[in-house]
Amino acid sequence: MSGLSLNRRGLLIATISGGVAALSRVFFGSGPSAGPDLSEQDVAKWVEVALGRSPALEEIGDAYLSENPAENDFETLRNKVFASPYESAQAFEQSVKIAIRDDFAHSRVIALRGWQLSLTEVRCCALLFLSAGDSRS
Amino acid sequence: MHIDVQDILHGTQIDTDVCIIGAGAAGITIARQVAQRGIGVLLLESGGFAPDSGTQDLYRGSHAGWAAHFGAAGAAAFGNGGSYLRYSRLRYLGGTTNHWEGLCVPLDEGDFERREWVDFSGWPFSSSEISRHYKNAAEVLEIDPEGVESLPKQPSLLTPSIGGMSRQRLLQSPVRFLPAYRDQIETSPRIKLITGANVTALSADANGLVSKADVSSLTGRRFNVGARRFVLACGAVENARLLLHSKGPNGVALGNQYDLVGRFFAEHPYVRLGTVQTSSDLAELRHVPVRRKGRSKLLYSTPMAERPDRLILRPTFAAQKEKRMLNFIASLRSRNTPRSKFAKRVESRHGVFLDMSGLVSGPAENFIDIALICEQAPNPVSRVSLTDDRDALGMRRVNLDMQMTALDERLLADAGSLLARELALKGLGRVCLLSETHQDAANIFPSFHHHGTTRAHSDPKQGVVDANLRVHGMKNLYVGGSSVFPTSGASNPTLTIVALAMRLAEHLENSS
Repeated sequence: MSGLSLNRRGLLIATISGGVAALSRVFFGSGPSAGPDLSEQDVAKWVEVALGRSPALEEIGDAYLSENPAENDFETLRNKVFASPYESAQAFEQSVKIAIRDDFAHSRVIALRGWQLSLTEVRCCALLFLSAGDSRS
Repeated sequence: MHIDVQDILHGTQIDTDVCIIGAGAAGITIARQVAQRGIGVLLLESGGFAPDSGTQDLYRGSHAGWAAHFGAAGAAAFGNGGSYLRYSRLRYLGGTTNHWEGLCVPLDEGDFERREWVDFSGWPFSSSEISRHYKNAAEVLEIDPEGVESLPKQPSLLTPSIGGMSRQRLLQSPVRFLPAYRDQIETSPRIKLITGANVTALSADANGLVSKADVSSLTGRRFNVGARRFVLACGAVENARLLLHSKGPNGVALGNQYDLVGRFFAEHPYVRLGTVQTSSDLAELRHVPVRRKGRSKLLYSTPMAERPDRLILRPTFAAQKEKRMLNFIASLRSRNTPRSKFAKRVESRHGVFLDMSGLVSGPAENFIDIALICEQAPNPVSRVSLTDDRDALGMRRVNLDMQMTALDERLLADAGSLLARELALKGLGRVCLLSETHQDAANIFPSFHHHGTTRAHSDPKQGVVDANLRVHGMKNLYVGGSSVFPTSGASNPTLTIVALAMRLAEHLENSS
């Protein structure tokens, strides 16, 4: 696993930018209804719609899994994040935003090398990391 | 009237009504107020009208615990064998106001409360007792009196209107007491200022009356002062030092019958807490908390009148209570905002302050640095005590030991999580914390604010002075300045020092 440098500019682009997510919506906005049986590739696409995509997000995911090896499994994580089916990528995106807000409101906050992040968003990042495993190698 | 100590006859005694020892913000304020009420004042100042290394060296002492770390920071900043004690105060007319930044912040209402999660907390009077004096202090400091209201303990933050939030501002005083008040002191018919005059001990009788002050100059001249009332206003370290040097007939230092003199020293640790990463710039960020509905119940936004480049966030009393944490001030500042004139001056003189201010270089856009000014929990272990080393006047030098409590250690994590939560909930970005404990010494610096050492409490077993700032067990000995603060909040202390000085002056007038 790579060390977490979490370049601030990278994280900025990754977590704040709506641009990537908006672009992704163009391509995946009307995807199939999906839930716990979503494939790795589709999970990555749907998470990308919600959060965008960048190496920084994968680094966050990598760091989270390093500290939480019990969740270092695609199916385990997918079942936590996609606990119920969603009709569209936009519905999933909205659900993730609500979940992130709810995490902060209820102190479900994960500290990764100083970054204070929501449990939902770091799990989404972990899914991105795991789904990108093949392309990285 | 001004008299240089060299013009005082060796061995003589000068008698007065009120003798004030120390001519900084507290001493000058008390002197001016008391004199205006027709009472004669003798104002004794160790220094003169300009800095002098020999006089400044009288502050030198040793450091332990966090004070040692702060001493090293001072050494790095100022060079010259470094001493936090030596350089944190200025020893000439006007005192430390001669180089202060001028920030004026009243204590919050909650700072005066007995907080069950903070041992030794609680002032012997409420914030309402001091609010009138804050207004008067604002005039002394030439700041807007409307800006010095304490943050209410139970603010109304649930309505979308700005409400109580915008009333409090962090104001910047232009007043340096030497140029501002020197002429007034020198021309006053009721104030006699003696410069170069160091009080080395007070003598008291068995009835608790201070009968005289022993005064020495660095040139060896000595004389005594007799007065109906004596006021110590030498700063938190020197007030304690002088009391510890002054034994009563029973051999116990004045005010120290319960071994409290010098204890409960507190600073305002300044911590580079971390960074907010946001898609908005600071100008946008600083307005969001007051513009949006449903804003935080846990953080105040306090605009700085003179510092539009910063966003100041403070925890409400409810948040402090919920998290059982100390008070703090979070200062959020974009990296690409220009430094203040003060910061530029300090940086050009002592480059190390570039980092001490948390103003690191690097890409500026969208990154906002968070600095935290922390309240310190009252801690009897943090103390000023006398050593066997002696200064040029023969007085024992002090050792300053400063320790952190578990509450202090927890504040950074609590403040960090609170800020992270509130900023994230508003969609303003994510927080990265550099430090979660004070142990990360690279990010912690002194604010050079000294509190405690002669704390006020109505019970002589818990405080050195009573609610009127009179030393317990003494009939005519009072203390001014931040040494009487039982707790220090996170507010810059000078405004409260001046307000307390005005309150003490009123008491001296009424009890004369």
